Amino acid sequence: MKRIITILVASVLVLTSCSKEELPTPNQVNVVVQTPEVTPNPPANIPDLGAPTEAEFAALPQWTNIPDNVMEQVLIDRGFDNILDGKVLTSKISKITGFDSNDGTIMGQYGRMFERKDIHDFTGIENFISLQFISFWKCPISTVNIRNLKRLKILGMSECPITGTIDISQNTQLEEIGFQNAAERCDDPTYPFGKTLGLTSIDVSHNLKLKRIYLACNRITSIDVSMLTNLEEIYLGGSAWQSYKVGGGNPIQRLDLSHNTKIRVVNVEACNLNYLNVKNNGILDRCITIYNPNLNQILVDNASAMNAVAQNNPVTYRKDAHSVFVQ
Amino acid sequence: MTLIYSGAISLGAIADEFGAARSNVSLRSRSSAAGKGTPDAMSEFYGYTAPKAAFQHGTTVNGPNQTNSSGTLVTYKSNVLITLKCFGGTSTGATAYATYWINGVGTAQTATAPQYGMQYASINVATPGSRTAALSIYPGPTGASSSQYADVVAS
Repeated sequence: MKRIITILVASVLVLTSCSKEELPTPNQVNVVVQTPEVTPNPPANIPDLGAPTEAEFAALPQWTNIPDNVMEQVLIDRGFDNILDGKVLTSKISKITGFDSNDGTIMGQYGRMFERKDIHDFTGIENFISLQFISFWKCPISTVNIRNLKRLKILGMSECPITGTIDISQNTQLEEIGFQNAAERCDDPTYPFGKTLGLTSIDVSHNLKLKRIYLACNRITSIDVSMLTNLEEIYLGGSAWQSYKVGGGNPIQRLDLSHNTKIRVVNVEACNLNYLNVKNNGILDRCITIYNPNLNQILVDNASAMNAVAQNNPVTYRKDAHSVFVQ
Repeated sequence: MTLIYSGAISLGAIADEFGAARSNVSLRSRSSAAGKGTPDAMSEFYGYTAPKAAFQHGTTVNGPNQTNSSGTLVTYKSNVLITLKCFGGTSTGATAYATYWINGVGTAQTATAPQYGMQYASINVATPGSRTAALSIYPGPTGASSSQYADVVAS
């Protein structure tokens, strides 16, 4: 037993020390197929965080500075504040969850209250410690400090003028990240997302609860999701525009989903892939890989089955003619 | 499959969620299919998950004396009793007494190469739930709209 444990520990160390650069290149695909699959150990269990404790609330300052007048006005309009004076009682905002009710109803008016507002400075958001859902859609911010929002399950930052990355390492409860820009505008030269704006990278290695990743129309060149064993859906390409518009993906070349055994939806439309591995996932519900001119092979468990499904489901399975399923 | 909880949602994304073609997507038709009333709004679809067919795409139509060892339909067979569990009847856009193409995996009786057979039948899908019908199974025809696909299993 001790020997087995030693081997397992050694395997984990080897696995965790692998970098993306060590993934096989496309012309080494056969080697990968013939190598016994090594499944990483399940990630450390991340406990669900309940509501903040009284101690956490007590540790907050009585007042929270809100230097952005537009942000404070939103809080006033929503009844969390009554005087535009650059501050708000922390007790008024620290229990906002973003949901409408305790049952997880998500159409949350409070989670969306900052959307499309001309808020440049989200100082103060750090004391919204109960937030489980927040959307900054179309807010003119290139970054935001959400490190203190440890209960956050759903983060929306679509069409925020991000120029680099966003730190989500402390948001370990995240189940969905939405950085999806408007792929249907990919051919609009005045639309900057995916061209001069948008994520260039995102580190999800601490977000082991992620189920859904929406990243269409950004500038990401690589992403490692191998540790996300709960991941069900990944959108690196757009799913939003008509077929005559080509673009809106990410300039990513390699994507290995072979460790994400719960994956049901893969959308890598109009990326720049030359390597895609969806093995260990059986038959996907949706697999959209079209407009990847360099993607000649898609590694799957059962090529004939995937071909059958693709032929029968031309809407939910879209791929280039030159991309073939191989196992 | 779930639509994003925030940001812009396009009709194309909604169509994808339903497994429908992206062209000529009507918000009203999709809202109706989702069981939503008027007025219609894209925001209704935040976090929306279309009800899945009871069986995964590519489900093989199995039945006695119709499959090979892999469970693949190999020959023409009439009166195959199958169960169609539709997307939820009228609440999700299925039409009563409509003809639905049903996916199967099979080998054409007269085809020169394996085809992926589809079958059809008139099945009452006026209400959600499963329906059974005796079908004849034929190799893949043309003209079926992918939005009319459903998955089946023999019962």
